[in-house]
Amino acid sequence: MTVKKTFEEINEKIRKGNAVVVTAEELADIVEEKGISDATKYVDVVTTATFGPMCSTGAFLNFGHSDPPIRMEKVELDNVNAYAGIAAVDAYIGATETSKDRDIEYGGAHVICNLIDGKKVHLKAYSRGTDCYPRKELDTYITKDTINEAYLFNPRNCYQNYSAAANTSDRTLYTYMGVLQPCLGNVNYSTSGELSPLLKDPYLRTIGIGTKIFLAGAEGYVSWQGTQFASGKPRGENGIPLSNACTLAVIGNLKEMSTDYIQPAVFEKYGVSMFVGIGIPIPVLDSDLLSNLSVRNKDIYANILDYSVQSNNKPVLAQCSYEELRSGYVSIEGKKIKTSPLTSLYKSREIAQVLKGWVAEKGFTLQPPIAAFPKDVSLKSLGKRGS
Amino acid sequence: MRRCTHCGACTAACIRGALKIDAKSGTVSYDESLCTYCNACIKACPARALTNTNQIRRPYVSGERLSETYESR
Repeated sequence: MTVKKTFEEINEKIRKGNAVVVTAEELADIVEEKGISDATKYVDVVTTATFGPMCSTGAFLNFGHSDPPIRMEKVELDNVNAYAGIAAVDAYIGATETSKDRDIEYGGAHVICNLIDGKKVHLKAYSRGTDCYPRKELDTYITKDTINEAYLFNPRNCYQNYSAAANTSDRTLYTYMGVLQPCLGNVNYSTSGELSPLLKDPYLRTIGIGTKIFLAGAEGYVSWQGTQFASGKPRGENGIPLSNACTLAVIGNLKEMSTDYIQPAVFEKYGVSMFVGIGIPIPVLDSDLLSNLSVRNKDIYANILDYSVQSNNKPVLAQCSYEELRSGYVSIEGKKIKTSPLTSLYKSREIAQVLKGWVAEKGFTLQPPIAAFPKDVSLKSLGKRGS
Repeated sequence: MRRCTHCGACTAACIRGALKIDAKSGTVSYDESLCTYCNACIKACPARALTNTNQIRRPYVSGERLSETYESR
């Protein structure tokens, strides 16, 4: 008999504390022992997670009004520019913005983490002054407790698959995919593979606007499709896209976050980024979904791109599975090449376990998507148009 | 001092293989016998968890010697 469960049935079990919750890695052993059908009956929720560098991260802050008030037109936080073209005392601090005095060694990501840690951050604001907002300059210190709202809003996180990087040129490349040694000296990849949220629900049946998630140690939400969302990318037989595909925009209360699960990332000769910890609980609604959830690294594939080609369309050098990438070596044209991850499997596992505890023991119920994401979306590129 | 996240980016910079990521545990390991103290790992560490001192060029993570830190995990 076909097993079907609803969000509400699963949430009822979560409320009563008797839902069976496992991580995506633990599920594999259960499926091996029980088979798909019995595992679908047995498991209610599977937790997935990732902790990798995600540039498209930042925070909205509302500083509160000074007296006399100021309409902030330019805002600096610890000498890092924040975007102030919003309203009088609102600003957005982007993780990748670099400081005026410390270059890439300090940026928006560091400011965000200092705020999360409760540290003082130096606020400087400038304005032309108006009749209703007469102040022209402000120089003060803030903490997360002295300001009104502080929430992370990340336009593009949690990539569904991401191509690995290599370098066929004769010089070392310094990229957002880490150090790429010359002459195919290494391959870098960035995903938690079989633990990665969007690889485990490849058609996003349970993930959409409103999905409740773990975001940097706090409860967060999926707010929209992420930028560069591409649900129309070619997929393998198991439904998993073979290259960079869907993404998520996520939101959560910065004041409740922990720097155990979000951290600045500085890439040599590139810039600042941010390690972001995201966990998504996926309900086992039926055996199709459980089959998706039980896909292993050996059946998830990624392209290896040549970053020495300075084009948006980098050539594919090879395709390999995440099992090969994680083994430490891949083979390209008969050459054995060392692999290195950029996403922390160690932290991803920790997040999957923490989220498992939230769902199993702390009543963290699952929110069905308020609206689903669009299908078959393709990416537009910025071509030369007009003169 | 930032904390090591075991992302593994340092292993890409280590051409001697002194820094490796364990496929099973997902943690970084350090074999000092292979280390030439080139310090390429220090610049490649996105978390800026690796440092050295002027006196001893050996890489340190979060204030402890690499080997001590990683062996204790």
